[in-house]
Amino acid sequence: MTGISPRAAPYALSVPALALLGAFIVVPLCLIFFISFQERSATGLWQNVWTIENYRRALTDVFYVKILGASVRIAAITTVFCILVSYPIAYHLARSTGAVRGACLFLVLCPLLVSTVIRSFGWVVILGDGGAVNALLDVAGIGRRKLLYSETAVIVGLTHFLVPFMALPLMVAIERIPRAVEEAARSLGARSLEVFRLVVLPLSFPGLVAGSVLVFTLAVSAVVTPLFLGGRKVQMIGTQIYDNVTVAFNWPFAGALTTMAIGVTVVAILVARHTASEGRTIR
Amino acid sequence: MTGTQRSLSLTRREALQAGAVAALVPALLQLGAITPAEAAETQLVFGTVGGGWLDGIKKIFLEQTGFEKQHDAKVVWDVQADTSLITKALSSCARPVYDLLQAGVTGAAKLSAAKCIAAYDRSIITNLADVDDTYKSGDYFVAVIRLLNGLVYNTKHVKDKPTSWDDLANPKYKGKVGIPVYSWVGSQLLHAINKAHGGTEANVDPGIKASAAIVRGNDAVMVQHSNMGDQLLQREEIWIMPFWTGRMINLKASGVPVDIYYQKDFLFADVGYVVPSHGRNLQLAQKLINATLAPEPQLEILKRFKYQPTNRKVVVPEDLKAAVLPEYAKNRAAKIDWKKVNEYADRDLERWNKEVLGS
Repeated sequence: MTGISPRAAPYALSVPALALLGAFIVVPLCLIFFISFQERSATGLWQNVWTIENYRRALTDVFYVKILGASVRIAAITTVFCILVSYPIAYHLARSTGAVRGACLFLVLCPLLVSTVIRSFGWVVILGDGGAVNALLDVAGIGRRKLLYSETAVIVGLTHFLVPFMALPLMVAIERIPRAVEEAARSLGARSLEVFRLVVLPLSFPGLVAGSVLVFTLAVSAVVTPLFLGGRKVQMIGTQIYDNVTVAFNWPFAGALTTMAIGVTVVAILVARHTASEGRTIR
Repeated sequence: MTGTQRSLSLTRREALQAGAVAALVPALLQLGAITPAEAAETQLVFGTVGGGWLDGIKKIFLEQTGFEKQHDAKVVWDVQADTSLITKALSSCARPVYDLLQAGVTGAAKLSAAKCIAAYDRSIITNLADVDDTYKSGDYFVAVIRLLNGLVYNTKHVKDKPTSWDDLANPKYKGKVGIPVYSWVGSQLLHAINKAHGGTEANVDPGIKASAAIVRGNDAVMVQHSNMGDQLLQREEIWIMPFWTGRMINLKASGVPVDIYYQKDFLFADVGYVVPSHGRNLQLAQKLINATLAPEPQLEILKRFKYQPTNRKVVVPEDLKAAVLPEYAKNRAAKIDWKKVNEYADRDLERWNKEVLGS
């Protein structure tokens, strides 16, 4: 390379990536942050009058604090379900080879090939009063239940959508665990569950943390799934932002809610980083 | 590397370059920074809602009128939810992304207040003269169709014909009432219910109280869109809901036992097309609006969707009389000032979410 010193080269090479991140992530976020300190306009989208009213409203109104709490709760439950569903899948993927692995990987990624709207409609049919789940409950003698338009329906839909985001980091983490380590544990008398608890789980912990951050972040800000499966009676921070942008045209308040949601995500990432470093220290 | 190998393989740099070009070209096309070489004709970006409505307007307003051929134009569709159309038009006010877009009276009033839409040119939209003033808002909006929204009910389960908004709160129908979500028709519905209970645009207390009695008190099912309303009525998961006449007629024709009643302060929704002020094809966009207001396409829309036409020259066939407002309901529609409603949009949404839906 001519003209660029070897010390400067790494920085120069990172310029395109930083420019893209800056243009498409940092600048829009800064704009949202700026708008969140502006006043709502009755005619336009906002007016250039500085205020902290949007934050006061978002942080002191119990309604919005409750909604943020509900979003965090739903995202946390979804993350736990994704972990439970993903571990067996990820383990199987990590330990299989050839065509089986390819086919399984394709099946895991399949939900991502379908739009969230279509997927949600699928769940509307499955969980509806006359849907497959209620038909099974009927046959089993339990009787039909109101499943749709509830927090349960939202969690089911989010789990289905987000499993690939958990399964893939876990698969990569499990792949890095030599089979010999598991075999050594077994040869020393550990049963399958103990091998998982004492060997696989601790060694795949970084993948678990990475997957949890991804799933939690996407779940806490979900819009489409709560809209369709929650029937508007399940209110999450994402749906509030959507309504304020498209119905009330109150972009400044939507900006404040967005900043709050980003704040929650950042805290989640910091907690995950701390947990991951604690995990490394313990091992 | 041999010539054959060279032609079959890519270096990492070439792959990255190809990827960058593949990503940039659609982005620049979207921004209008570059135009395809073959696109000699004028492109008209048309924002609309999708589904069956889109299929219908493509066929009726473009194919049957031969609009594109006649004007050497190509209509490019941008399909969005109606609230998203207004939001996009507002946020791109100075450099509009649309040449024309679908809007209701409320959305058009919002865009007009923000000076984002232009006044119609009567010398281009000549069919305006055949549309009564009741379908117009200022000089920037005219309804192409009027959607009537009465109480649609299942005649098998609802034995006593519903007569007022309060029937939705009747405990006999608990869990079997449908209510449109706020972002769809719910916001307009709130104001119609509010008027029926003596409220005003500035005071929605009565409307909020009555809506909460329906949604929370009667465990109403929140309906996201028209197709969902159709399905819920078909499967008899709901027995009664404020719904469109056109939808009711089509359901009835398919054997679903439904009927409609226009109660006092019933709602109607006018749907039309507005033209962004700084649009690149103001004249052409208005020519298309003129085509939508002509009697023939209006009759086709009536035949296909059963929505009330707005051009007075349209002769409604006898078998489609049910699609237009009956005599008994002539003066029953809720009279709402949508400009005023927009001033309180933020407050109303918050009260709906807090008091009607609850957390």
